[in-house]
Amino acid sequence: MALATPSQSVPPRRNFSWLHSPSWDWLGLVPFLTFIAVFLLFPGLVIVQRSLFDSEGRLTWQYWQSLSQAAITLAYTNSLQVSVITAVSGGLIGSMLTWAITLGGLPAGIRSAVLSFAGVAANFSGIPLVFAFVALLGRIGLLNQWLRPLGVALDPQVFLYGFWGLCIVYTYFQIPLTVLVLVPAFQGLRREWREAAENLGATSTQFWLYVGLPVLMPSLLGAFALLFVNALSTYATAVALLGGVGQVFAVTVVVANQFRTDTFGDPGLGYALAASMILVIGATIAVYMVSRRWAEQWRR
Amino acid sequence: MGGESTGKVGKLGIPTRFWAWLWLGIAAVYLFLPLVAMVWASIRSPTGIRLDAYGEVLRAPRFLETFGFSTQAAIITILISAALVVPTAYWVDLKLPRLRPLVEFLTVVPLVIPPLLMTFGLIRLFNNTPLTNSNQGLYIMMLGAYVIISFPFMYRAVDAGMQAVNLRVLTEAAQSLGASWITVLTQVVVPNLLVAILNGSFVTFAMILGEFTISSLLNQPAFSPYMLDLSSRRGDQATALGVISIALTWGSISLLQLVGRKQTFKG
Amino acid sequence: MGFVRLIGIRKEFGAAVAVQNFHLEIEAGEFVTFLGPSGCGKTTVLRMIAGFERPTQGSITIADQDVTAVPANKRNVGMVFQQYALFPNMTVADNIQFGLKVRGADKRLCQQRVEEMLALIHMEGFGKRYPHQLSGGQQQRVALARALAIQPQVLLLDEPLSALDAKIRVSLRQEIRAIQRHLKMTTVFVTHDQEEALSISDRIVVMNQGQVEQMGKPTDIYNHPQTPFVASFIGTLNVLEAEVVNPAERALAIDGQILTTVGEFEQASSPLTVSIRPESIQLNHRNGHANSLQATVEDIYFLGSIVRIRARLQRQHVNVDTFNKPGLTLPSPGESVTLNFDAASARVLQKKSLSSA
Repeated sequence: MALATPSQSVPPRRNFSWLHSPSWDWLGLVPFLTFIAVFLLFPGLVIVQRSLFDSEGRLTWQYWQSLSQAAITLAYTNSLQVSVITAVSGGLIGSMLTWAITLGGLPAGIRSAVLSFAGVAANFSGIPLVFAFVALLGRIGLLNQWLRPLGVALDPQVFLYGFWGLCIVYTYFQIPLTVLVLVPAFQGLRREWREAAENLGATSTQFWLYVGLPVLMPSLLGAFALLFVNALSTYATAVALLGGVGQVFAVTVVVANQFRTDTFGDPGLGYALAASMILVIGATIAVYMVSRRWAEQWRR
Repeated sequence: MGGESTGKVGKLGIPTRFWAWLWLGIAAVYLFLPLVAMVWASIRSPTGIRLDAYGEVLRAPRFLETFGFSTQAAIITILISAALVVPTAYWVDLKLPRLRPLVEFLTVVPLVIPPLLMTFGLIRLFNNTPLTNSNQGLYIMMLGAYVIISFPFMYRAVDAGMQAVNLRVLTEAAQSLGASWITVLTQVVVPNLLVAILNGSFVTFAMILGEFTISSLLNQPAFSPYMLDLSSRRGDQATALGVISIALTWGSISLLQLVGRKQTFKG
Repeated sequence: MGFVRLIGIRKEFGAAVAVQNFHLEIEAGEFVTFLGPSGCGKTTVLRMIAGFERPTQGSITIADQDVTAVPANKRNVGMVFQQYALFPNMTVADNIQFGLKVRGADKRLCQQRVEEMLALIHMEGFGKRYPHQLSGGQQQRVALARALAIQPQVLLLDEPLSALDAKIRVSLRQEIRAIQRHLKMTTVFVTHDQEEALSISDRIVVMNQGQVEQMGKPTDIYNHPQTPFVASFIGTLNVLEAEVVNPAERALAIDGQILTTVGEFEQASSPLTVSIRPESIQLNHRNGHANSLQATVEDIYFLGSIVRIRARLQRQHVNVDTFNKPGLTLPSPGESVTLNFDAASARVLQKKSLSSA
């Protein structure tokens, strides 16, 4: 138990008394921590370490510097663009869907039905989803069958097996993820705020402008960060959809190819690539966690 | 009490509800049309509806091998994950509540180091050791990676379950009535967390069956790599397999949502 | 003619009837309280005045203007919510001037009004604080200021004190009343706390299950409850069941003991309901009171300035309140005592509730 005296009713904020708690309590965490260390942290550290140190153990920036070559910057540019675009597209559709089921005045059962499906769809595997989109947008896919009598044809090379195809398929996953993340935020918009604003003479637009969106903003930013990371780190979907071409559009595919077959002829480059991804993702996650803390103060 | 009795209408005179239905419709089309197309593609033929693809794919020996492989791996993962997460979550809640943010953070780290990078890191970390030189070694690494990616779901499910039944208070009540630690664990903790563990398990199961990155990079005969491989040889069968995979995910998650709902009614 | 008129109000939610037969006229500057238990419809009526619900039948008029169909954001009524509903992303000053801002008022007017309001609620200097930095009582005062800043025609308060600590509740309700008097603001106040209602209202509307039980001044409601519900809801009146013995002599029997009352009743109405105020009963001293009943003391409750003695007749219980005067001798549980009171203190109540004023 803590060493606080009975007269202390509320412990001070920065209380390091947990450092003094009996050491055997910590043992309970050992299995869990060990597992995480071995299978997650050490591999991560290995990646970072070998991106900075060459085979002789000397510190070097050469691997990070060779990230600037054309093939890699192209892949990164495309990946970042796809991630931003699908974060916006998925986020937009997802946000509007979330609004519709929480504040849109729809029948009661719809919200739980949508939430259920979102929980399911967020866990769909990438491979079958790629098959589904091929069945929809492919040369002999469903849409083209419907459009044939009109004499129009969707070119799968444009809409499926390239940049935009990737965007379209990724958006599919972003939508349910957005819903799952934003439903609590939208539900946190108390009805009284809306009514108080109305009562004081505000129109719907004014409410959203002055109260609704500002209160939601931290959650929206956090969701955006999450969606961005989600798109950036996808591998299975990219590989299933684009195959070899994937390395033009997805950094993950470049990383995978480099590790497997050393496509760049430079082993250290793979580590630098991987480490750079950890950096980008890590920074974005940090933004997400900060925004979550920021959002929590509205829900008091 | 319905707040809609005032019939909210926007500036243009269009009721809010119209927009709500519109966006619901747009999202529904986006989310369902591909699935419809996939089912359609798996059963269509010049002569009408054809279910042969399903029969063929289910009878293929490779299907049973890989499906069985992934299922077995999923079950082992769930057991290991539960064995690690449940005591840890319980311990933190009981003895080290101030460490909760840290542990929560650790379960989110898998997001920062995605499976792709984690797998490569693992391979290189254990390069030239028995782990990478034998198939069993690779299998063990795969299981380890699976457990890691299951942590966020397992931990969240168990944690939510603990809060829902207020496990700490139950433990204290049991102790004040004289129960030993074993009794507390077996008669208080596990029974009350069973639903939460099941919850996490179903999600983990669905996730591992659909998991591609780790198993493919470690050259393991898992279900998803098989599915992708099949698509380059027999597209129609692969599509049928895709439908089965989606149906399985949908079924298992829906099942757990049903179980979860029953639990809330009981409590 | 009243400043606010509610005529024939009826509200249905699907098959459920939340409010029916509601008629009320509120004078300008009057402080009217809707009082009743949860679910009695009082908040529903308030929300209809505000415009958040539309009556199924009936009309609402404010200052001779029919507002029944006017949307909520055009009615110019100020509302204070139970959960304060301050906009969390705005400072106190921004919250207060919100109503002015959406009407396009210029900055100087806004600033001036904010200062006025802050002075009114005695919170000068709090302008730059955020809601989460304020206590519950402070937040509610800011909510009040925000509602008053737009100079509304009517002020509506929906159980504004229910979420606050007991001490703050008392001081804040007095502050609200003082501000209301100062501004001569027509006010409708909703609460389930009868002490609150009695202490600050000009008039009280007691509601139960969607209907009006009784309407009147606080003293009238307390001294002359007209239905069993009002009698049991207000104060701690003793509500007892009595058999008719002799209508001509106005004699009734409670648990076998005879007493006389002042109401008129008929033999056929037996059994009747009788209410007796606990403070109108004297223990053990007849002092010329018309009625004297034998009872056994069951328990004594010390309530601060009042001591409450709970006694049993045969089957029914009677509470007797007496001032906690120095040198007071109290009976012990199990003792026999006599309960003495006037005929006028025993009021016969009508069984049915009123549906209009």
